Amino acid sequence: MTRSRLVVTASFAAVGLGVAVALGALVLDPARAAVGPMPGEGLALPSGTRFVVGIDVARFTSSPMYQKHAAKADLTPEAFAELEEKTGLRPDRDIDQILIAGAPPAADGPARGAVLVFGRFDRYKLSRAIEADGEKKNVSWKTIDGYTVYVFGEGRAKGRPGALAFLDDDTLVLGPQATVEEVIANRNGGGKGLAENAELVRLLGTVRPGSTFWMVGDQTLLSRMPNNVPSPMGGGQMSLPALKSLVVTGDLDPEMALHATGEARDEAAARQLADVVRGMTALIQLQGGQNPALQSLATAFSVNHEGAKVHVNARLPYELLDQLKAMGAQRKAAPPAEPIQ
Amino acid sequence: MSAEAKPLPPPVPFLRAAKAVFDLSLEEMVWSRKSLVMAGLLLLPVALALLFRLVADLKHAPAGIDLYGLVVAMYYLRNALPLASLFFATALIADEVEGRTITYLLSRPVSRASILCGKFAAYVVTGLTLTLPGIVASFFLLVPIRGFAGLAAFVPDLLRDLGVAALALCAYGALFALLGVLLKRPTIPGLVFLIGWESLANLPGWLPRYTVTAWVRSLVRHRPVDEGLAELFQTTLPTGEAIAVLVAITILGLAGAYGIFSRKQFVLDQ
Amino acid sequence: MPIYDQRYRRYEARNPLRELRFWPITREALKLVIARRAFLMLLLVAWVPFIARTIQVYVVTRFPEAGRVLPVDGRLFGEFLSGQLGFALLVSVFGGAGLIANDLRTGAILVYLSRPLTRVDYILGKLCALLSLNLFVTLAPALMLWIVAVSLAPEQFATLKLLWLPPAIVLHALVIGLAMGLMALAVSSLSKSARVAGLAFAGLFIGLEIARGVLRGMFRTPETGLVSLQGNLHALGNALFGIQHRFFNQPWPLAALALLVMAALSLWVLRARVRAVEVVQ
Repeated sequence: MTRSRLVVTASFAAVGLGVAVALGALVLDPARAAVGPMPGEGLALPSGTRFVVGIDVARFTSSPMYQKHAAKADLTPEAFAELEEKTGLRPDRDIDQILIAGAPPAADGPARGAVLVFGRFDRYKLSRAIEADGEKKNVSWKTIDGYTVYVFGEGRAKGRPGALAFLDDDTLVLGPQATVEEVIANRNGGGKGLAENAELVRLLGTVRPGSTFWMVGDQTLLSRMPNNVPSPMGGGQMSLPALKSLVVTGDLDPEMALHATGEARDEAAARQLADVVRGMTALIQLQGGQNPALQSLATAFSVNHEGAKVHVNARLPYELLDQLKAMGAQRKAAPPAEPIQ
Repeated sequence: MSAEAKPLPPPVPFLRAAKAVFDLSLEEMVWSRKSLVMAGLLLLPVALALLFRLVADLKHAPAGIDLYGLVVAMYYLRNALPLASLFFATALIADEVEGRTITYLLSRPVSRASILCGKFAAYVVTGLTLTLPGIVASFFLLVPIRGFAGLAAFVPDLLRDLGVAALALCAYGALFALLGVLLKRPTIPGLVFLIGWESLANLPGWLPRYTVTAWVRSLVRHRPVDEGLAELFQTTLPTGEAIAVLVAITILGLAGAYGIFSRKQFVLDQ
Repeated sequence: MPIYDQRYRRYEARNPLRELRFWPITREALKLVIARRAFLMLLLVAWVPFIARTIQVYVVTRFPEAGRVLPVDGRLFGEFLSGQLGFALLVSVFGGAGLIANDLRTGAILVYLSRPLTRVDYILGKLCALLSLNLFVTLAPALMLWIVAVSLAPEQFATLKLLWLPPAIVLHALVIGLAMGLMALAVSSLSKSARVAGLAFAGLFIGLEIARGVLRGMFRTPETGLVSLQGNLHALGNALFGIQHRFFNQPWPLAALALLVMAALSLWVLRARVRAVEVVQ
């Protein structure tokens, strides 16, 4: 074999090996049952869910943003000491992921939703802590399908009772009692749960795993959003085309990064929406003049549309956010302009 | 005794001739100083990724898939692959002319189509040899910077990127092969095309459709934040259309190159 | 003198040739490259941004409100020179790639160095040719733009406050011309083919710039810009003309140092490659 042939063969063998390893990872991945970034347990959420939000707590708490604000908001490990002693839980250490699922309220009903918390819980200590507060906080508990459900405020005149249940040693569900019971029923095979909601499952599949936080919402949720926004040029309103779905992912380390994908009804609507965002960006750029903070803000966004989808990318370094905050404070402190006589 | 004209030997069949040219050209292309330069360009991201793994604070690093996306979309597809194509594809015939060896090639009983196809195939194999390992290595060095969990979710992206890189090599290669046989000095027009014309991809409306890069960019899922005008006017074109256009560019480019090469008379400078 | 002391002695040029010995090389190189019509076209096209900027200055002097969108001050010249880098690249590839490569291919380098010329004369001659071409697309239009700006808006540009502009323009254009010229010549000396040398220089110029982009994405520090010739030239220009840029913001002393290192490397390559004997391996 000549030297050239050897180089070609070695190169293709390396690529083949790499692809084989990658395919192996794809086939053997333990998280295959998951949908996008959502663990398999999330499929027990109610089928009527219209939006799901996910937060990777480990990434969130290690981000510069959390570190900066934790001390101010009393979220330091010392502050959690009392809670940890009582319940065995230190949120920043023991919670891995939070899923918030919900649906807008029906015409005259309350909002619906559930929260799934994944982590490592001292189940005994946590249960004792809840039961110890039982009388004081009107907590009762019952067993449904083998799961202990703690109900808060049962029988009170105002509002619906809330509930909490351990789905297993690592998963906790919270929410209105009816929703928690529905989640338990879904988990036991009594209902199909989120898997029945084909549209939301499809959207979840498009979310990029590995983000610090993410959100998906379908048409029902978005139809309640305002269709008009104030025009950036001032004077009047601008109509926005309705969105069929919205997927947002974001990271907080080393800077704030957001990626939003909205699906409009058709390509023309997507173009219109993209143009609105571009217009706003261009306006910031023009208004920024030689102000580096505003210039940076304008260039921190990128917009593009792909068929009926609009993608908005934003990368906001924390220094830029601090500069903008300082500018806002300066503007507030400045005396209002004299009216023209 | 009458001197009878000796009959010309029958031309070598197309495939056999193309394979012979392919073998010859591959030897010249892969193991050469030129390829070493291009290998440096195409494998640079691997060195950068290694440096990153060794030096950076991975706990506070950006998401690995974002960095890998930056390498694929910004480095390979927008810049390095078009440059490598310009480097190799314009030289397919120009090297033979410059080295004054075109005479030997054209005086053999092989068709010009087989010469062009053999050389183009050698270019594609050389390009793939230098590019694909870089992409695969970048994937494994950058994507799992926060652990291997979730790596599987990005495997389809890797496969897609490898395919797009191959398609980009073919499309740009055919275009520059055409430029190489059409012009005596294709370097400057090629660079003007890459630096100037391809910038239309960053403008609004239908302008991106007139470039090759916009079609190539549309095929990958990575959308890194740009540093200039592209931030305002990024356009993603439909996938099916993009594949069709790139295949069409490849076929038309090669057909055009063959059309010119088959008729061209080569007068070597003395 | 004893025979063992008869060592190699450098050629001492004849008196009339001692001054500006590199000039004939520069002159011939320029003649060759300017004889190409396509190159003249390129030089002409390189002046199009000058026309655009002149219109900008005119519009802003007539309609000051336009200055909010297209501000006109000292920074205009820095932005203009940075914009000319693309043309400087094309001119360096077109005019510079073959300067040494062709001599190496044809063996003309042996003829040159067997004349009353030293290696320094040869390199200086080639460098001056490339430098003058680069200055034609950077310094000349930038100075012309300054003259136009001073003539159109003397109250704005003909002030003591902006007296630093012409020296800054000259300095930045010279740095661009020298840095690009030296690197183009170094790459040219590494190949016997002008085409390969041209593409290799373009690859190096663009490759280092995209490497900067990737490194910036990875490390998020301005110092990553130091790897790029283009980035360093931008950074130096930004410092000279007071431009605040989001990406080319590495400290200018470091950018200047990086440019010096690049120039030294180019000179080292030239020293190694430009020689009167060819080592056949």
